[in-house]
Amino acid sequence: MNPRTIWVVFRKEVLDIIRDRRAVIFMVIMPLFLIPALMYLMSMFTIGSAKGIAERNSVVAVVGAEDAPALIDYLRNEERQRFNPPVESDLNIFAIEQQSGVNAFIEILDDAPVAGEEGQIRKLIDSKQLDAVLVIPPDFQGQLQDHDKGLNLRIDYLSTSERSEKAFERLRRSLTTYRQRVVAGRLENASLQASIIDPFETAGQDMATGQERAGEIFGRILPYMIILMTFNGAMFPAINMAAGEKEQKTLETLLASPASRIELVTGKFLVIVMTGVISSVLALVGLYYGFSMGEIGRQLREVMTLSIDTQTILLAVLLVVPLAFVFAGILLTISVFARSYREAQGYMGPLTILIILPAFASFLPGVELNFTLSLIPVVNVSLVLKKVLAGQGFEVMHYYALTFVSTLVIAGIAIWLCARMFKNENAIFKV
Amino acid sequence: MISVKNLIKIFKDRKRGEIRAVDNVSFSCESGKIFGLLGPNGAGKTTTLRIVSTTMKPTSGSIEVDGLDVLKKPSLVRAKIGFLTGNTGLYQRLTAREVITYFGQLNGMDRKSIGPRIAEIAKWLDMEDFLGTKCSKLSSGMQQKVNIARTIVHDPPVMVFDEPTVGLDILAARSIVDFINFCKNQGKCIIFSTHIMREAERLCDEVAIIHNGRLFAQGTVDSLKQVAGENEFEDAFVKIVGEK
Repeated sequence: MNPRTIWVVFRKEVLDIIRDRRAVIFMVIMPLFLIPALMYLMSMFTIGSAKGIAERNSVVAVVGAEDAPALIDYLRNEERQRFNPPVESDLNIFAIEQQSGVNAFIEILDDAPVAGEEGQIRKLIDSKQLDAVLVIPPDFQGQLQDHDKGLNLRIDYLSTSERSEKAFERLRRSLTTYRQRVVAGRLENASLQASIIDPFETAGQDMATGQERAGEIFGRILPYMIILMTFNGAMFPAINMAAGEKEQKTLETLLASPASRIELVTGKFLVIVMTGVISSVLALVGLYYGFSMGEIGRQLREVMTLSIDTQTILLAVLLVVPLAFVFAGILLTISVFARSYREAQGYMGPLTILIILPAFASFLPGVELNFTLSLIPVVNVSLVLKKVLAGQGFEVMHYYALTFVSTLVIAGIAIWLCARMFKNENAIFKV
Repeated sequence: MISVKNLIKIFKDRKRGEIRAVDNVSFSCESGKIFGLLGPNGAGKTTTLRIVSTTMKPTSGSIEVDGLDVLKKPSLVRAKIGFLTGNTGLYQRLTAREVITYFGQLNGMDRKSIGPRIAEIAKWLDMEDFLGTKCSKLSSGMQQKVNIARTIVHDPPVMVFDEPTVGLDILAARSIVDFINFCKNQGKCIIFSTHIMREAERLCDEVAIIHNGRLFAQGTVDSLKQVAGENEFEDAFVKIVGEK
């Protein structure tokens, strides 16, 4: 093996790729711009529709309103003025209500077009004339004053409809406040203090640091994207370098040059590995900036610190390199085997699915690294990357090492397969 | 310069079983001479030439190029050969100069010596105007020239042409024929396969007729005509192939 020859092959292939529009799109444009833009738009859309529902008044009909005039009056007037959903402390980037000062409220229809029959209520909610129906039992107000037990307020709603669900939520919240007011009145009448029934409050304090919370969100998406982009970036160069050479009818003359097969394979191989790694690093950069953009970026920055340090990046890239070797080996083998560019492309669909599924491991909740999972290709990289990106790379160093070594072994097998395929006369000269 | 002895190449095919693509073929060829390998399609010409240029391995037999065994020193053998086939393509995204430079470098030349060499070849072949043009934008005649330049950039002592004129128009084919003669005048050893009798008649100092992998006759065109008792070489060819 002459390093100079490998370098000659390497340089030529890099030149060829830079001028291949398709490869550049998959290697640079897609990870750096397209994916972040798409994810950005998608989350904007989700937020947009959540916001739409939050801003809309809930239309509610009341059955038996005449039996609870005080309650209806409360809902109509007082509650409407102070209606402001309580702030939820959980990290929820889609909890728009708390930020945007939405002043949607419950709108109570003046004449209830409902006889209290379930089928009819259902029909009205389905046809969007109503969001929910509050059913008040007969003589509600009177029995409330008599401290009667077993009073029941029923809310008819549809859990499968978002606006109906929202109406239910708002009604329940308002009724809870009303109940507290009734309780407070009774306590006052009995000359008791409010603290008698509210001896203590509970408050949660989140110990997670901003980086940990960022890791939790990013840790799910990033490993998957990194793995997918490594594969995508390597795909077109790999197809081009063998199947493409067959199609351009340059392979035979290349093999007739003094360069040995192993030098040719090594040169091509290294370029594929490089494009895979470049693509995954660009995906990291793209997603990082994609998530820092606009409304979502603003909200994210409020709840978490986005700091990917050098150590994290080094650990991540160091793991991606052997994975890129595995992909390069598989892809180049298929590329040599295929008769034409098109045939090679045909193999990519099923292969992509084969890569995407195990890479999805990082998305699954509750899947934790263990010895067995550290040996399953792609799954292990996905799970270890998740830990690394959450800043916990050093805590799982033994699994990291296991994943690194097992991926390296598979890379070795893939390279061996590839070299064999390159020496296979039937594959090389297949027409 | 080239010597092939008892060359056998067997392909294994799942459907058709064993195929003897080349069956006990021997020939040799000298510097400054053109040796023609004649035969119909599927005769075994391409396989033989691939084995000579080491891209395929023989099942048995011994092949030497300039005294080097192709099995033992394949890289050195390839460095001595310029290889051109009729359907050789070019890297479409590279310029003519980049393609020629790449093959020069693969042949161990350094950039300093490739530059003047390309200038020299470009002058011969009248291709100075399009050296900086991407191959995808070149006409087929121009691509032909780039291919020729790529083949001789390292000035190899042996030239292997596998049906070099296949699919070319008259003018392009003519320029290939001229190029083969040019190589002969430079004292190179040339081995050349074709199924076009007129080309062989015009170019070759010696020819071998192969069919179904076997060598049927070998000698000068005139001697083969005499053996067959025919005035036209094509008739002689048909008679020789058909007799056995």
